[in-house]
Amino acid sequence: MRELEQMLRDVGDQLDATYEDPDPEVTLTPSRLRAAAVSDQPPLVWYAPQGPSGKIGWVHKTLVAAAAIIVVVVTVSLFSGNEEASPVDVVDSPTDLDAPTPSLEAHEPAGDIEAGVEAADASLPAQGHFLDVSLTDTEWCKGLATYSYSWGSVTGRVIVRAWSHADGVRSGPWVSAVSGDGSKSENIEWGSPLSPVPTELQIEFELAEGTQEPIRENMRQDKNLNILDKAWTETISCSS
Amino acid sequence: MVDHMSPEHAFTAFVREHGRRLKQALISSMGGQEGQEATAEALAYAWEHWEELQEVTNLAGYLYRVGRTRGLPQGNPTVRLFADPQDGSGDPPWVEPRLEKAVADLSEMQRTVVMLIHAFSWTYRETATFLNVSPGSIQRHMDRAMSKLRRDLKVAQDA
Repeated sequence: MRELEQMLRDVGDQLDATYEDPDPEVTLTPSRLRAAAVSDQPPLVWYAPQGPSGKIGWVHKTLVAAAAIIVVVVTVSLFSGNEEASPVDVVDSPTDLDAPTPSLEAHEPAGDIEAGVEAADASLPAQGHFLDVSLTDTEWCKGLATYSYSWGSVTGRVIVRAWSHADGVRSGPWVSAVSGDGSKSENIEWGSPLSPVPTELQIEFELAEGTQEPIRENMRQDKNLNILDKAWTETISCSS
Repeated sequence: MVDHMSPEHAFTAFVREHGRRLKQALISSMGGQEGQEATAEALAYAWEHWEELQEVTNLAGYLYRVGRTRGLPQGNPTVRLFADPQDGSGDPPWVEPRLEKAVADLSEMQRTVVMLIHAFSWTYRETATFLNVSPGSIQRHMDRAMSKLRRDLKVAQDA
């Protein structure tokens, strides 16, 4: 059973993991804070936003500025014919680059992410994929709680919610899950037996934003599912 | 307790003890990315004004308010609590997809209380002390917020 409180705990765990400082023992030192405060720069590079949106850490800015200086110096030396100057000389000059850059690699510019999106777009499935919903274990009604579904190759995500019916009362959702993009099968479990033991279960499927239209068409054609817009429901009688 | 320590050591000790909670509170209030940036702003402010801040009794709570003020994004953007599952950070969270919007639609105080207590496992008393409000007020915000969440998510049992 996934109570609302449990879902919130999962969210908290995810947020803690996402925004955990990489190594505060090393990076979070007052001297660096003070230097950042005096220089009126964004203070903590290790708190800099991750991903393509937002500001760029000051170390990143320093590196970009240093690279620009190198380009300028090299250009000047080429045009002036000064063969003694070289990029190596410039890099060896005193700069702020001595400072450690613990999290710089985590702040890759948007280029790689955009490339990833392009790669994903290139792998969109063609027509002919299908969703095959199947129950593999009827014991799940009693609380063993294993339920699986599979599909060929879905681009997009399927949202699943399970409601139970017992003694005329509908309760739930006991399971609320998002299937992975492109997965071939999913197992959904809930930890504790349903009480009272349901007489039937109702599974709601919903296609997440971005799910490919051809796949929906194929689902409708191949499996004769009762798709209303982007959602449908299956009702399963539980074995006694 | 930190009188005998150098400012550097005192500040470091403070961050180790309160930094994580400060970030949790600001993320709860402002969303993931904005909360993280606001934490950096608040800690930078704390270091710049470390000596004068020694008189503040609830320094973590004070810095929470500093972070909300200094890290406030322009406009009125939607609060984004969850990591984007498309950002390459791994599997999508196994949570109700409507939960993020439902939590974001709560008032700031309701959202903060719900997140601190249920998502980050703070006690009611810790939350009340940090936010400088009474435990009774925290309880009322919590009750209203959970009722609204259950209503929005249709979690309540229905015949």
